[in-house]
Amino acid sequence: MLGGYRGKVLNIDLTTGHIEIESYPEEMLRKYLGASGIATKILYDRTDENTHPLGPENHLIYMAGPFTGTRVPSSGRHEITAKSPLTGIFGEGDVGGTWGVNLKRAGYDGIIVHGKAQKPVYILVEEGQVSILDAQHLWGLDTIEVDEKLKEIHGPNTVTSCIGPAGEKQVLIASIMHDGRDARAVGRAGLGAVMGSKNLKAIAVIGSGKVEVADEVGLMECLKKSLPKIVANTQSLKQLGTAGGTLMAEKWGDIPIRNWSRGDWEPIKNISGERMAKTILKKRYFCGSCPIGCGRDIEIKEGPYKGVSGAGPEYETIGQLGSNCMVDDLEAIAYANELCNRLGIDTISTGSAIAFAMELYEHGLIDERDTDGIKLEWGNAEAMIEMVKKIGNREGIGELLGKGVKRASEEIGGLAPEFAVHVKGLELPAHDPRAMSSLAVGYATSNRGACHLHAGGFYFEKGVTMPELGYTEIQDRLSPEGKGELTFHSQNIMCILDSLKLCKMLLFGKVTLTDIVEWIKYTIGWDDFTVEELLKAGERIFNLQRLYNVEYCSISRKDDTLPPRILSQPRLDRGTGQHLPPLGRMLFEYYQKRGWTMEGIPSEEKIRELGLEDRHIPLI
Amino acid sequence: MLVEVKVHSSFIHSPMAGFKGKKAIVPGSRGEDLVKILGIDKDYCFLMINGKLAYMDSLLKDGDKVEIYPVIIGG
Repeated sequence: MLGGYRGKVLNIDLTTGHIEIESYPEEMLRKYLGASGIATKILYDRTDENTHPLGPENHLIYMAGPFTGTRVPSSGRHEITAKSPLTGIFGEGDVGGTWGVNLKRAGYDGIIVHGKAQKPVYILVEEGQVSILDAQHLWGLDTIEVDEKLKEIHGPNTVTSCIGPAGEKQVLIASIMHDGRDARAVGRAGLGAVMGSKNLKAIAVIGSGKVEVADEVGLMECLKKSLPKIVANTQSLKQLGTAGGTLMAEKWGDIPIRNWSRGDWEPIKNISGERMAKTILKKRYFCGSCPIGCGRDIEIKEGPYKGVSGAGPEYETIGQLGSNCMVDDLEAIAYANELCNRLGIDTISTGSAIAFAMELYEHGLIDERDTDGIKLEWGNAEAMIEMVKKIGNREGIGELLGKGVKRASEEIGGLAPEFAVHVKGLELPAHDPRAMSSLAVGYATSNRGACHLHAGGFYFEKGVTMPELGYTEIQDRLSPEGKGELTFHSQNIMCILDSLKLCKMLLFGKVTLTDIVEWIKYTIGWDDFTVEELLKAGERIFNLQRLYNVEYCSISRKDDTLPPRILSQPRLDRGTGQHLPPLGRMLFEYYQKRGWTMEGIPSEEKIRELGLEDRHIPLI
Repeated sequence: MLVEVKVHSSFIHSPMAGFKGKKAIVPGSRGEDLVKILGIDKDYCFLMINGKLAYMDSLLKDGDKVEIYPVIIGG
């Protein structure tokens, strides 16, 4: 018997209330690893071009990985996958916390939800027992209230994945939140709206079983070698959180400022990770099995935002609700972050939409009549907070902004699309391709739209090395040389991490592919697994996601591009000067390395090489 | 006065990566002054003094053990 996997996935039809258990053959597990890989295959099998993202036919797939619930470091994670209502293409989100660990302990690798309940429901998975329960008393509650309520009903060991009011109202940038006040988010691509469209408020899990591994002693010995280097090399994340490099990001021209229109912003010092550690940080938060602890647990004890507590803002949140809106009040950002978490909206897309609206306001495309009297000026923290409420509650102009900047700009028309910074409808995260060239080709080609965590090449421009791939030194961040090939490798690695369920921060901890293969050997028991097979699995998963987008969503090279602002308007700052990323050149190299046609379509030869010619044969 | 300095080996953005030794500083020096002496950009690093998180404006004392780590930009 394989270690790591529990061998059971719940298939729940909310229309009929029917619950089945599925198991997948080892051959398929080895081909798609778990979590993202398996969920991609299921989404590919069970949805298509006719699937409306908010229709009952869409599938919302929760999937943990073989490492989840074991002692493998930073593996307390799971993936949620669905066709995205924000972008209309492949959508997924990776998240930490403890929900995935508890699902595995309850005896399951994943939960597939489809159909639509007639009235609000929640799913309870308690030590192997599954029930669909009435959630009318939860409907309307925010995500922290839901967590508290479910703990009250089912006990303190209950761990919750849920939507807030935004998901219920099917706001297209709605998130799915986990672990209550610790607020671990599947933020991107609007998957909270998918959950809301199914009348599903929450999935609560309670689990205490053990996730068996193939060789417990061997794994422990192996981890003794890995853990010290992970801990030593990720001190910044532990001490200062993901916002620890905010000052450096501003100096490099990486963090967005004024809706990506400029660089150099001295007030950045007011919203850095150091400032957070010095002022409102209470303690560090660790996801399941994590030795790093980059999460922030904060508390504001006085002033206008007194009472804000729990998860503090991440780098991404600071970059969007902060510098991109030119708001330099850390406590206001922390409050807005808590509002986003409670309402259940993605802080990246929300901050980006507000920055977009601020630029519309500056140029007179909208005015106070559109904003219900709010002066939507750069740096106006109160206005930013009010806009968060409007988006999360789908009120006033929030209705429009909650559709994401692509749709909003198309509805407004005129000059508005100039200010909409997105790829394939997904707003850019807070890293600038003008500061790190690989992000250009990475954002242009990543399967859920603009995503640094799918692109991954920028890790190698910041300091990560990967000896097995020949990357033994830091890559020149502004140079386009070899960035197509780098992105090919890094995207495949991101698929591997998302499928086994490993946090990407482990790359800063100098974890190598060889380490991961060792962990597979001791956890799952595949003694003959190699680095080559691992890389091939990553490439296969990435290509199946691409094929989903190509075959069901009409994606091709025409979509593999960047917003005009990023391609042709330099930041003119001390970090990047006049530098602009030469996307076309990198994209050419990338397509060649991928074995895709120049239209961005995986070639038949590549499809055969990856064993995807039988992709239309279902997983089971 | 003297402080014991260790620049973490993962600090690839500094030629001082891996440095370990004593540094003379004037009384009243702060973290910012020390990293300047070492030629390290203060926005690229953070400090631990005697095993505890410290800041660029933290006052240094004779005999302090100062570890200098690279910051990591965002997730």
